[in-house]
Amino acid sequence: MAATTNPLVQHRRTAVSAEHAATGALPLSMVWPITTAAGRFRSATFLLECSSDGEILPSASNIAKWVDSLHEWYLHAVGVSHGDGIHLLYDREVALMGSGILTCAEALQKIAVASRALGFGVSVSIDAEHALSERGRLEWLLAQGKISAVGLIITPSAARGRGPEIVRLLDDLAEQAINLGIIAELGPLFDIGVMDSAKVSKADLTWYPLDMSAAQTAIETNAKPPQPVRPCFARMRLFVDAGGDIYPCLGLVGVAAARIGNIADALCDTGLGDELSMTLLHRWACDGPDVPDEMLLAPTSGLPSLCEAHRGVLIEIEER
Amino acid sequence: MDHIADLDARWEFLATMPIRYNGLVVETTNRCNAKCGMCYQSAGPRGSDVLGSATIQTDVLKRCIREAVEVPTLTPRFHLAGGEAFIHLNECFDLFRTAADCGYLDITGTTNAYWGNSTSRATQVATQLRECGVTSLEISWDYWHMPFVSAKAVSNALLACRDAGVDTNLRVLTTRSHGLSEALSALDPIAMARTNRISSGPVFPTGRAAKTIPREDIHASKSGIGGACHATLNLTVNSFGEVFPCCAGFDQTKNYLFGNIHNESIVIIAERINSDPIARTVVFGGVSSLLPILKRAGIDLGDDYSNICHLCWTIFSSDKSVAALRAHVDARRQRALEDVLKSLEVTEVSA
Repeated sequence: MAATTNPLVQHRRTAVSAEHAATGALPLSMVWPITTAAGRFRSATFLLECSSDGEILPSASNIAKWVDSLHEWYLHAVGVSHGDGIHLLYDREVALMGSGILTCAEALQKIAVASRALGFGVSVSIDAEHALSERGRLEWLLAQGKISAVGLIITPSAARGRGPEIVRLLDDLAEQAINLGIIAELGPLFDIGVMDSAKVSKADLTWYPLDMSAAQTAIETNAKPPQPVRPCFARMRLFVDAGGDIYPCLGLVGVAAARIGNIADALCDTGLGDELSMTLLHRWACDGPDVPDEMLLAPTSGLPSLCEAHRGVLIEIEER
Repeated sequence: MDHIADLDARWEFLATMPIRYNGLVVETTNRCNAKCGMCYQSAGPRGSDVLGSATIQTDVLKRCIREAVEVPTLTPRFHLAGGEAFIHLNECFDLFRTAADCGYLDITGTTNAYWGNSTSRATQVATQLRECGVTSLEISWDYWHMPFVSAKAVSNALLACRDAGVDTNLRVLTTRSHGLSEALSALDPIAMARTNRISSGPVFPTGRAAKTIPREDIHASKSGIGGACHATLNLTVNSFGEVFPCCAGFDQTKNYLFGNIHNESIVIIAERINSDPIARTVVFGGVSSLLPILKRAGIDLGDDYSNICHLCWTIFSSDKSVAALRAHVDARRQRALEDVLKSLEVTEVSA
């Protein structure tokens, strides 16, 4: 095991050691090869911020450079460089999201070009009001042909305030050669006539209903799933925040103890290059985190209760 | 020239590219308690209108589920479908449990949610599904399901799944005269809001839809017939035990078969699909690349197809088309063999 100065990697070693010692299930000497776990990190989501001078954070060139190194790492880690696991090149995606990001459309395009050249699909998630105010930039970006999917977030106030424009926007997007996902409360969409649109009805669409009342109801009734889905398998992908810090899932973004590294680091110096870190991540993927059932509460943030509890446990470790 | 070189490199690469699957799909039965006008399987209480009735024994399926984890390019996702597989609920629970024990990480199924008629029954089924390891359910609901399953049952099932911790994906199909609004507005708004996902899209004119829905009512697809399906495949066992590389129509045909799980391991059959020239052409080259071959054989299928699945189903439903494809492959093999023999003879003489 190589020495490391990365505190995160050190933490993971401690965490892996502690978890293994506690369960007795996996002796420390028996680490899973990086290959097994690496396949889970085929995609990355960037939570971007726009700076006042019209640049995005992290910068487009830093993202493009990092995606390139992630690709090289992935080829090596899953064995493609040695002629194995070539099928693991499927379904890789770079997702770009953040408030007001269309104002940096050229930067998004730069990232998209670099990512598509490496075989990644590229998705952009934007809120509908921003899309309407930056309609020209959105059209320009889509016309470049590098964006494969768009996620459109429609708040109830946007639907009520700009209904007809939103219907026209959805009609136009539904006719583009892209995958379209709509994240919204459905009631207001019915009210403004989105569901009656022939163009929307004929398109292949994915809707992600937002249920603003669900969290409140869950808290009031203390409703929690009796048997949550524990494996993190379906929830795992890399998330990179505006500061360039890398996390293994959305639920752990911002939790220092779960930070895999930073895009400024060489990948071999991050958790992705560390067998014990990858062992822990592999265990989370297959069995879920070590969070006892009694710690699970009614979810309050929109995340699954297990993710909320896991986040709490790691923050507590961090504070100790 | 660069373009041609690129294409050559692409084909060279694809010649060895393994076919990859997003999961194992098992269609346990083609019997269904509904008989929907848009059903691509033509399923009903007496099985498929086209293929007849079939249900696979649970023991055979359990062996198949255990064996399939050895298919190297299979994503660890198990999906149970029908017909309406849930008419045999205890068998479904058993199969889900087997999949969970074998290490599949995503365990899913498709149902019309008929079992949600009462809230207590919906809760009981959803809870038991979760206990068996089910992570998510696809619930089919649209205009054509309405005569057979109540909106209340679907709403109850959505809410019960939410409470049990089973994610749901509501699947809604549309035509020009039966849009999204008609289907969704029939459901309880609270239940609909608590589904994790709604996938909506147009009916394909395949199976019963090809016979019962007027062609002009079916939306033309924006995707056309130019693409290939290599990114969207599932290793599929149909209710006769036949194995196919997808569950989008090819699985409802009987003229070009790869192997049956009653007779051999699904691992062997998956290897056979991977080396089959016609399957590889469809998967990587796109099904429309079969059209010139068929045309040369005097079969002109025209170009009135909604999408690649519609064209694929049409080609492989026709014994005449399949015979022409087989003849083409056999002739190519024969020519290749003759070329190799000739080149070996030349090498021998010069030696």
